[in-house]
This record gives sequence, structure tokens and C-alpha cells, in this order.
Amino acid sequence: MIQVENLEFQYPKSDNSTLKGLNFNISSGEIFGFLGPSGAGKSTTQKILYKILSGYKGSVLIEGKNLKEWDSSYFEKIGVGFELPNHYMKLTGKENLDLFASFYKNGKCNKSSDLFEMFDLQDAMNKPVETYSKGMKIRLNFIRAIQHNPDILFFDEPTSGLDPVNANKIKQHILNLKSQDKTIFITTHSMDTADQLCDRVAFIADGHLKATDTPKNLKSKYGRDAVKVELKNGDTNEFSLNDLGKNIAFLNFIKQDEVKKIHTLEATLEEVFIKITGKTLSI
Amino acid sequence: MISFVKQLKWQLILLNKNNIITISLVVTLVYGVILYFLKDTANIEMFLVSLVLNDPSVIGYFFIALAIYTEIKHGVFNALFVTPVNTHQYLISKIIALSLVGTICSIGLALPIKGFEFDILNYSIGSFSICLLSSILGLIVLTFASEFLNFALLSIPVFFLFTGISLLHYLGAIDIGGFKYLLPVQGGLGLIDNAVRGTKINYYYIYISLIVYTPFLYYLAHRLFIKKYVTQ
Repeated sequence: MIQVENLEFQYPKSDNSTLKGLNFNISSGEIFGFLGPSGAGKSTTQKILYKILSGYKGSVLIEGKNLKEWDSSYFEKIGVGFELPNHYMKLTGKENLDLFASFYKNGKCNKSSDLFEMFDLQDAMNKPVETYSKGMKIRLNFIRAIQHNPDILFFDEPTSGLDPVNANKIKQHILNLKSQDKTIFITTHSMDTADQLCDRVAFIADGHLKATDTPKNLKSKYGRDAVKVELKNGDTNEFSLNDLGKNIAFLNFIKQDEVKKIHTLEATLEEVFIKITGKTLSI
Repeated sequence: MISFVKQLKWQLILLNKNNIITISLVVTLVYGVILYFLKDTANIEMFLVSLVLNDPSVIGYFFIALAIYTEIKHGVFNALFVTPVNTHQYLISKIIALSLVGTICSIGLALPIKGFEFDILNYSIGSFSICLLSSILGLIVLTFASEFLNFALLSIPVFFLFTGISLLHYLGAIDIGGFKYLLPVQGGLGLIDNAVRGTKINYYYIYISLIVYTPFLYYLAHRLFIKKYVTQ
């Protein structure tokens, strides 16, 4: 669905390239996570894929067709869920959706009331957006991105600013969209979100893609196949997962006292990111 | 066309929700009451023409900038330009919506003095064209300003050049001779003056001036707008 090859970009007033030859593919029905610290090139990549930034080198193919050759019909195919709220504050939530729907040939694929109900906003549907909380505005961002039933969805920090209940609902909706064969590109700082949602993730730092793989493969590649055991008496020890049940040392160790904790030493996605890029995501 | 009408409807709704229509009508009402009590004063018709030259141009010029700065402030542009929105429809519907409001307000200014005893067609076309040109000028100037205050400061010389020179010439304070025909608002001013005072006008000049200036300035405004706000 999306094929990016040797993507390079340099802002006119900058001395250095922001993107230095990115390569990645995203298949139909795949959730692809794009992770990196601020200034790594995430926003620039997004803007190129939204077709609002031109002047890049390399190729971007959407459904096999060069992005530069797509006309405004490209925007019928994509939906963008922004991190920060961006609505007409004086209009109601429904009016905001209707206004944006008016730009599309089939802007109202989904009934507004159903969408508002899906995101627990039915009571606020006819209220001005200026009366919404931040979380409500973010959910409205999400609704607006999907209301015209696009094939490709871009979500920027989809759960940022949401309480855990609504964050989980959004995650579930993203998984539902995947099950409808939508292609989904997510940029996030939240490793939990990436881990839970993404089929594959790409780590970007300093304009380079440092790694692209499934979260599971990355964690297993950079983690250790071992468990750490902590006893009530304070003793701790680590044991390989290979034939753990037959490992005499392990069995003797857990007989010494009551076991307080046992946990695997699989790396977290954040640890993998730091190992690979030498940077933290909170930069 | 249907799509454009939809955009125009939304722009009028936005103007209404942002109280721009209400403010314009209230200001017109205040002016209207004052004009009604001054209607027997000498040169009141010239005063009316001067007022119409300023009032719709202010509505067009400042309110288009205000509307766009509000959209920028609320981040609406980010969402807008990843949709199939037609930027011509978006800008023209904004310009036309404000020009309609400006024209209605201009007619509201004439009624207390002239009743219906004036050429409403020429008057409406004249005030509509002034509002149209000033909205386009507002669009051009805002692409050179980073914020509304900056825009307001830039507007002082720009607005003087745009309406001030024509107005001073019209009132006889200065004489710019044939140079007046190069000023964009001169055509609209001629139509309004003819509608109210029955002065002679050259229709060829007026319509050629409007047909040349309006698309040329719009083309410039659109190019600058796209460069600054849409493609980066």
C-alpha cells in the first residue's frame, strides 16, 4: 500500500538533511508504528505522506502510484488523526464533522450519531466544541479522521491526552480499523501503545531508520531469554529459560525460601529503542 | 457549483457563529441612526459615499484576516489541508461571504438617507466590488504578517494606499488627476457615487478595471496563501 524508498528531505534554510534515505513498506491491513524522539524526522515523514510537503528526493508509492502523481483524490483516501485538537471552536461537534464532510465526495460514510455514540460523545454532539474537554476534542479528531471511511489512516499520538478508559477504546477502534483492512501509520512516544497495536515498528533517529521489525522480534533480539527470581529472604538470581524445569540450580534456589517474584528478562520496546538508537524517546 | 454553494453556506455559518455578522449589522444600525438624523445636512450624500468606501472595505479587509487567524490559532489549517478541500473554493467562499455581508451593510447605510430613491444595482455592485477587493487585499497582507497585531500595523500604510488616496481625491482634499484611474477601488467608488448622486460614470472603465484588478489580485493572493499556509 505504501512504499518508501531512499526518502531524503532537506528544509530550505537548513544545513543538514532532516531525512537521510528512509526505506520502508506498509502493507494493506497493517499497523505500522513510527517511533523516534522529537526532531528525528517523524513529522517531516508524516507531512510528506500527507502530501503537504514537496521537494523531497526518493520515491513514495501509494497503491503503486507515485505520490507526486496523485491529485486531490489522494486526500479522499487518507484520514489524519492529529495529536492536538484542531476544530472550529464555535461550531458544535456535529457541525465540525459536517463541515469537513462537505470537502469529500462521500464524506458521510458513517452516520454522525453512530460515530458520536461509539466514542461516548453523543451528549456533546450538539454542543459547541469550545465547551469540550481536551479528551473530548481528541476523540472528535479521531472521529473526523475516520468519518469518510479512508483506506489509509495516520494517527499522531492517538492516545495522548486521554484517560486510560478512553485510551483503551481508541486502541480498540484502531484494531477494528485494521480488521477492516485499513492501512494504519502511527507515530507515538508511547511504547505501550506501539507494543499493543503495531504489527511492525520503525525506529527513527537523526533522519535514519535504525531498525524496522515486529515488536516481538525486536524485544527478543535485544532482550535475554531468562527469568529473574527474587526470594522473600532477599536473595535474587537469574536463570536461562532453556529447560528451566530441569535446571537443578533453579529448582534448588526456589526451594530455599518462599518466592517473592519471578519475571522474564525480555527487553521492553523502550529499552530496545535506547539500545539501538542511543537516544530516549522523551527527548 | 453545488460544492461551492455548500462552502459558501459554511462560511456564512462561521461568520454568524463568530458574531461577525451581528457586529457588522449593529455597527450599520448605529451608523444608520446617525445618518437618519443627519439626512438633511449639506453634502450628506458625499459623506455616505465616503462611509461606504470605508465600511465594507473594513469588513472585508479585517474580518477575512480575523477569520483566518482564528483558524490558524485553533490549528484548523492542519486538518483542513489534508482533506480534498479546493483552496479556490475555500478562499472565494470566504471572500464572497464577507462581501455579501459588506454589501448588505452598505445598503443599510443608504436606506436612512435615500430610502429606495437610488440606483440599488449600481450601488450594490460598487460596494460588493470594494468589499471583494479589500478581502483579497486582506488575504495578501496577512501572508506577510506573522500575527494579527503585525497585520494591523502593516494595514496602516496599505489601507491608506488602498482607500485613503481615492477617498481624499473624492472629497477634494488632494488632486491626483488621471492617476485615480489606476486605483483598484476607483471603479466601485464611481458606481456608488453614480448610484447615490447621479454623477456621470464611464462604465467601460469601471468594468474593465474590476475585471482586471479582481482576478489579478485574487491570483496573487491565492499564490501567496498556498505558499505560506498549504505547501511547505
